[in-house]
Amino acid sequence: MQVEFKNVCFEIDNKSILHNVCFSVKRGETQVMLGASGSGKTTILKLLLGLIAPTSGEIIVDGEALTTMDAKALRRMRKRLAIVFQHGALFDSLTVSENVGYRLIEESMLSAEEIEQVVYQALCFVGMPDFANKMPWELSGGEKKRIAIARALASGAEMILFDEPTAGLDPINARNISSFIKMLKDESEITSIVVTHDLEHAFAVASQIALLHRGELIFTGTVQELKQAEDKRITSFISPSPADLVTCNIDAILGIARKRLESFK
Amino acid sequence: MRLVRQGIFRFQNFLQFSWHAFIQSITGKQYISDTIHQLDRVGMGSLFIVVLTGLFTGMVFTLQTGVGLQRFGVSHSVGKIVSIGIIKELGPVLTALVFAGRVGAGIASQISSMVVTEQIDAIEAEGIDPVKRVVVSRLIACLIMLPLLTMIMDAVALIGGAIICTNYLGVSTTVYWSDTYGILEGSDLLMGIIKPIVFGVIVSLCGSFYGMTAERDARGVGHATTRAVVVSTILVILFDFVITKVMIVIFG
Ligand SMILES: Nc1ncnc2c1ncn2[C@@H]1O[C@H](COP(=O)(O)OP(=O)(O)OP(=O)(O)O)[C@@H](O)[C@H]1O
Ligand SMILES: [Mg+2]
Repeated sequence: MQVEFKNVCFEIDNKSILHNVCFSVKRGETQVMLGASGSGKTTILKLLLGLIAPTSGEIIVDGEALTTMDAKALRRMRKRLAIVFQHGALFDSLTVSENVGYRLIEESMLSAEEIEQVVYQALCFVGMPDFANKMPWELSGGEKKRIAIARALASGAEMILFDEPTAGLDPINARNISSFIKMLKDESEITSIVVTHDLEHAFAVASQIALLHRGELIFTGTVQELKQAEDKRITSFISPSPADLVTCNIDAILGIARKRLESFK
Repeated sequence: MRLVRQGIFRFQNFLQFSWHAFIQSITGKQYISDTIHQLDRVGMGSLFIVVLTGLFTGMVFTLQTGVGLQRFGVSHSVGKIVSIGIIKELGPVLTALVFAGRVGAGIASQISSMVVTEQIDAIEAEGIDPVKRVVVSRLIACLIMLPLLTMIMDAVALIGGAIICTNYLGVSTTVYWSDTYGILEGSDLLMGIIKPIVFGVIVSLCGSFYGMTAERDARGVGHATTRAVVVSTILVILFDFVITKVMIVIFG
């Protein structure tokens, strides 16, 4: 699956969220989207799924523009994609295994045993095989995220969108997910787009990397190129110097704490 | 001016939504087991409150009417008035109002919390129409269950009337029941069944529409629920008048 963003702009209530975003992802690649919180990463994924429409510009999937697709073509396109939502978005009326097998059950092309087998393997992959019959509300945030990842894996999609897959996970699970995404790149035709602000993870999996800054794409290229870039906005994101970190007067805050402490004595 | 335009725009959206839901409920793949689950929730969940409301409404309505008729010395024909009042008016409207408060609010809060937690987005991302997946089963369940609940309400209310007649008004049960049956015409029964069908559509569509269009934050659920109940209550009362008027023009 190939994806191309051409001069995509997105606004809400005349407030610009994305400005002139251009990038393309080729079949089998892993595109990483880096960016600070609120820079518009999730918005890019939602645009790609057609959940929201761009204000201007075009999104082209396998040569076909998203904006010109009718409902049926859009549905067909979505069935070739899978997304791991930032907060999981598990269906709370379904059990964990029904969630993971959702697409397979919907399409009913496989037998129940085959689906069960796929679901079990996906759950094993995220290290949660004995959670099959639990309900989503019994899970912690990180567990929900892992089930969401299992759901995307089990869907058999050609392209997987990961919205901060490693955020909120412990180091072992985060590394598992990282190595899995890398495996997708190295050993399969599956294309993936990974949104993250975890640099180590980003560098480990990327074949292409892009950096978003307040709705603008300020860099696209390889990991090597990113590390050598000299733009100040890029260097301050990758290796922030002390000057980039502190922008408030910490003494003012500590002063209040000290005063309160004295008043208690 | 801006408010009026917004209102018209929203109304147009509501009509579009309703049409879409209608088309989806008669075409393509249907989620039968979901519908059965909803029937159970919607029906069994409201049964107790419907029976309770029906019993006491029937009793108090009969008591009031009976005492009023005693002044003219014709309290023996209380069954006729009670029967017409309950079958054509009180039964359908009260059931629908109770239903809007319980089921309509439930639909709005369930769907809006699915919007807030991005579950609706997730359904759409699966290449499935969320209206088909979550609205249709609720629409069908309401369409079937509200008429049934109304019949139960009618029956219980008439029984309540019978209790009052024999105990306080000195009207015998035989007279009461033969009056309640005897007075009813086909058109009365027709009105008594058309109303709950229309109300069922109103309550389920309002709940789903306000749920689906909820704001995407924690306020969204509360707003959607309140709006769904308020709007469906108003529409039920409005349509009650319209249906009554139209049917009286048709059947006299
Ligand atoms: N529905 C909305 N209404 C108004 N503003 C919105 C809406 N959705 C997103 N935004 C704004 O768009 C910007 C980008 O949001 P987005 O969710 O894409 O950020 P993000 O890069 O995914 O951030 P994070 O890393 O925190 O998830 C934010 O500044 C946010 O305030
Ligand atoms: Mg995000």
